[in-house]
Amino acid sequence: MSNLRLINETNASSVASVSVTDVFTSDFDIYKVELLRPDLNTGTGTWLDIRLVNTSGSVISSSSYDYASLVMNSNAGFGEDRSTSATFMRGLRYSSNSSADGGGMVIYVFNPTNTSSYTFLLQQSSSFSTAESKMVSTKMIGVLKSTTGIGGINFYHTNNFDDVNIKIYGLRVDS
Amino acid sequence: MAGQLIQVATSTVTSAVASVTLTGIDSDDVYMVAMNNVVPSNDTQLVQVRVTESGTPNSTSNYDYAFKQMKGNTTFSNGSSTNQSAWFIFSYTGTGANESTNGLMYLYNFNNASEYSFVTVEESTRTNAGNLQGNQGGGVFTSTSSCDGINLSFQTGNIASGTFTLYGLKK
Repeated sequence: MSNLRLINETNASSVASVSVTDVFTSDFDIYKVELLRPDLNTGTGTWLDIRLVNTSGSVISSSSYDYASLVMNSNAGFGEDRSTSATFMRGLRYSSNSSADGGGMVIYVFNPTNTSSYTFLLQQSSSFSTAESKMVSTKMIGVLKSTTGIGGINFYHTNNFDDVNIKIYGLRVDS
Repeated sequence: MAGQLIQVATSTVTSAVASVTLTGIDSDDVYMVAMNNVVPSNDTQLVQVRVTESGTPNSTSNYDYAFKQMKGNTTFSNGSSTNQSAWFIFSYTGTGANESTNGLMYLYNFNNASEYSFVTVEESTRTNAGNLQGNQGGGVFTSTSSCDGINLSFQTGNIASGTFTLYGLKK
């Protein structure tokens, strides 16, 4: 049996924000989160960003996040996107409303339920904008500077998602 | 048939140890090492990584590496070196509150005695200065030996705590 255990799959449509709650538990210390088919109505060149959700189900939007993202453009130079005490962690660069474009993102979450440590993230993404003929890939690290217990993850944008699919796996450690 | 992530070895450090060795690499599959909440006993230390041969760490000067170092508070930088005694591919961390190293490594060709052994790394660390920092890169062990695992330690002092798990990516 694989030690990568699928523990949640969420589909959402016609929403600007989607949270997966009560998914991080003491059963795992590391989680893999996949975000697929992030289709959007409008918002070329904007970003779908990441926040964490506490164990009460509330999205943490305080200025408690640090992140650093390497932004790799197919048609331009690379960039650095970083912040301290931000209200989010950088996610996927959104594309346009073509049915064929979009992208994907994988995130690893470390120690979310450990109330003695901060919660750390690794993220990588790739997306394409038909309107701009532009592919953007990102590599991001992030941290929530709080020892609050984390129960889930939130993705949000200023515009509605047409459709999004999120899968969350736990990396099982058998002692 | 979907691939599987199969645990090969694990070590959870709750009282200080000099190093952790994870062995059990016995195929040409890709392997992954997951590390979380790794904290040193001494301040300002980085995780050093060595291959093991028959369970013994190899500390010869055969380690090359390169990485992009991403930082939350300032401009990114590059790191690289050749002919080192280990892979120094993680960021410095410390003993201050909430300082730790978390990351993943993928291991390639370790079992194959006809090719060099390779590693990729991605990590997210709170440094000894309390900043977010993480490396994205890789390394090579320039020896055609068969390696059965990996050894992790800090340059000086012990590992105070942390969980280290070796997985195989199997068909």
